[in-house]
Amino acid sequence: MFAELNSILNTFPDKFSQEEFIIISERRCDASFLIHHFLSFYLRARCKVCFLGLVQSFSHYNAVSQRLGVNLVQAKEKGQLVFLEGLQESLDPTKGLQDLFQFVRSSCSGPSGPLGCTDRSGGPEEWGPPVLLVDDLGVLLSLGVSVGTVLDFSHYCRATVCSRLQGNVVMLLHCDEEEDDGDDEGAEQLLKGLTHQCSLTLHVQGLPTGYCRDIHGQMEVCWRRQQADEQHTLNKLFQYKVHDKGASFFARGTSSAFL
Amino acid sequence: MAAPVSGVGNPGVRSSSLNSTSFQKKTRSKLLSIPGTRPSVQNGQLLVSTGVTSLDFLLGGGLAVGAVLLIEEDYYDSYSRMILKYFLAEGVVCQHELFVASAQDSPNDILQELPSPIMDDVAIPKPVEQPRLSSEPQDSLDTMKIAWRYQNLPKVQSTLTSSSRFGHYYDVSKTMEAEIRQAAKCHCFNLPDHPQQTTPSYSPTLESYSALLKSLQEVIQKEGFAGKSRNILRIGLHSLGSSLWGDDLCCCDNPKHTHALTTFLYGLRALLRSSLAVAVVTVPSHLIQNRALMGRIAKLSDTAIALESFKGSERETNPLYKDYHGLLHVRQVPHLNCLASQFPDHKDLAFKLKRKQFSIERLHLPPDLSETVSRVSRGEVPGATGAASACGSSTNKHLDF
Amino acid sequence: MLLEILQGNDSGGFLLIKGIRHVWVHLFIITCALLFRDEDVHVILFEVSEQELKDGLKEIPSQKLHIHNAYEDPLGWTNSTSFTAQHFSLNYLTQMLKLNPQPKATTLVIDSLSWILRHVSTTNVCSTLHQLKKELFWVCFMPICIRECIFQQEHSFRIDEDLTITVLNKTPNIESVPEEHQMDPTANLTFNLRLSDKEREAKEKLLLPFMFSKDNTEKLLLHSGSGSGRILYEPDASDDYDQEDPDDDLDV
Repeated sequence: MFAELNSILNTFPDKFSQEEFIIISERRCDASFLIHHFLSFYLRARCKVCFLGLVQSFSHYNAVSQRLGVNLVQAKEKGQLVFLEGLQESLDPTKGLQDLFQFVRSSCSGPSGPLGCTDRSGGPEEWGPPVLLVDDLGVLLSLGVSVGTVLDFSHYCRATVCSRLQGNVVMLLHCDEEEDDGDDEGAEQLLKGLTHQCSLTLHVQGLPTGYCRDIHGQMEVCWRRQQADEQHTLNKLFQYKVHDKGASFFARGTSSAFL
Repeated sequence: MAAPVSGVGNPGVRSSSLNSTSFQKKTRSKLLSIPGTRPSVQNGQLLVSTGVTSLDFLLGGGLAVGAVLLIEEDYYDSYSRMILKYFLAEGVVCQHELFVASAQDSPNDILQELPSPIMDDVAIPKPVEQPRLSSEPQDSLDTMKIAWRYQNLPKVQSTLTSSSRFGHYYDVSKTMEAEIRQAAKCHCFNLPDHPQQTTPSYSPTLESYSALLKSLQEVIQKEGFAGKSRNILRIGLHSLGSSLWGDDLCCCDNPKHTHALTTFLYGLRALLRSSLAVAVVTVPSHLIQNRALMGRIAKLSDTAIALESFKGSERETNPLYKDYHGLLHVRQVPHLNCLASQFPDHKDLAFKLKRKQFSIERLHLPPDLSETVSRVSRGEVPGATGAASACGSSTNKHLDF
Repeated sequence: MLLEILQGNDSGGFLLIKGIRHVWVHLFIITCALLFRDEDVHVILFEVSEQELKDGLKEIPSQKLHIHNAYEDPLGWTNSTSFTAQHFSLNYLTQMLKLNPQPKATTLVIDSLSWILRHVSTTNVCSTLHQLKKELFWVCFMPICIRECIFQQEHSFRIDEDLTITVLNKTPNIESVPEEHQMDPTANLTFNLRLSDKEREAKEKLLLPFMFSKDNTEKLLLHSGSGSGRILYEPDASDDYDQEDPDDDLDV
């Protein structure tokens, strides 16, 4: 969990908004640090977390989370975390993603579901609203799932987790190369469709001018949520650097390496 | 310090014969004592050497066990094949098991071409001997007279090397002796030996890839790399995605089997993550038209580097590149068990192949030793003809009056 | 266009709205139809949850509003809703909408067309819509053009945050972005960069010596050969001029 990012997004473990659908897109860089952020964030916020780790093994996520101060093994034992290790399960996405969705649905609305069914004395611990994290949707495309099917899957996740269970969804998507790559049948199209569905996008990119040791990339934050009083899409641009145990975000050109 | 500290190549510190066990003593591994491995300084990951010392350094110490290194081939597949051979040769020297798969030449041919290790060069400087090396008398001999301002600057090292030695050096002009090679246990997968059924076009995977994956799985299971084994399996997959594998990625813009290779790589990753194995995959990326697909292929491997050789390109004659054989691009750096991946400080890298070493260096301009001299120095020469000894003879030769 | 709807003297037809999803756009359309026309409004929801829509319609009487929720389960994965993508056919839709004995006074709102187009073939959608058009007043909402779909009547317009502005702004051009305020770079300068009319006139009249104009060339042609080119140079005291090697300073 990165404190700086929390203040940028104005969410905190004890006070965060629900029914959010967050898309993280990465281009020419690696944005998995944000997935780790959200994982530790929602675990600290005592949410019931369902994690679809399609890219890496559980031990990887566990090792990183330990540096961020969260123990995934414990969370799993307590029933707070449901972890799907894509590399272990033999996914057969050619049959559609309906099974995957059923898994999400059952683990999100499981016995220790959303707040309400209170059994404070002795019974299993109660967890907050459910959260679904996916790392990364692009893998599904690589495995031969069509863009439409992935969009259907994300739609169902949103309808179930965000709308029905008042939880949050965070999905990471890796895009290749440039935006105007002409290759329409792919990650670009998926990103367009997802951007349309979501309430907050974090576009993470490598620096347009190339590689730099002190600035690992830039992150554009776009809210497209309906505020209580006004509708607006607000964009903010930050540069970031990933450290061993966190990441720092700063306005463009204000890296501590140069000032 | 400007003084040379490293004892590499110093005849004084060579120990006569060094096998991998005495090499192992120096590493700080307490978890697993597998020859030819060491834990990463950064995240405790078990590393093996690629056989190319400077590539190891670039990858953050070595290749993590359970990871895939993707090499995008150069045009003639000469240097990428060389790295693959280094990787396998290092496995032979460290007594790892090998798995070689190829559709082009028989895997045995690749094994026969392995470079010969330079055995007496394997020594690592012993810590006891090091202080003696950098002691005063030797030091003063080697130090250059230099302005005090520059004396304390760190020595610029263009070659990427780490302080401690890991991996071996090889002589590419000689092939490895047969008895050393045959000591290593090697599994081969030659595609033509596997009968092919025609794959139905709607299937996301290809027959050849699934046969390869199945045979890998068998080896890993049979030899126990997934659990009880105390050895490393080195997997070398040559030219995946080429049309000889039955893949049409390289032939057309809209390949039928778009997802065959990515599905295979995903399966490979799944297999490696749970076993003591490490893979190097070469892919003829310059033949793959679809850039987005290539991006996905790189994304599904842990580390991806691309080789761009100057052979046949106009850069061959460019004076900037005259010291190098090609450029090396880092496409992807590994993210394993850590938040921040080890970024190289520099991405302008070039490689050159010497007889005893494949070295990757920072790309920089060569020192200007050319014949053409700037006008200022020529103007000085007529006045200083008497004391011409200060000037280099090469400049004098050039004078025409 | 919108004024017509508000006044209730339109003839019905398709209304296709292109844009990015914002809940207020829906609300606006439905509010218009509900408040100013006493009609049944059927809403098929694919992309907005029923709750979200109802939250926005708090003050509006919604007896006339029929919501067909396809948001929760558009493909029948969980068997929880009645309307799925397969139901988007002429038969089912007419059945669904025929509840009202006066078919002409019915409006159908679809959110969104792009969603249906992903699952039903474009030709099917077009023909279905065309058939239904005969009986209904239509409002279609299409947020992103994933595929192109050509309708005979297409009314596109831009809706700003303030609803009143939109009603007045009847331009059918989607490109009618509100005039951007052009910055004048010469506005706040300490010196004058502007020309008065008089000055401009004078400037335009001015004939520069080496300009190639008709007058100039004539003058040049007439006076050609009047003088020969010569360099006049007087060396001063500090000039070091070597008579024997006049080109000493040149690097030849």
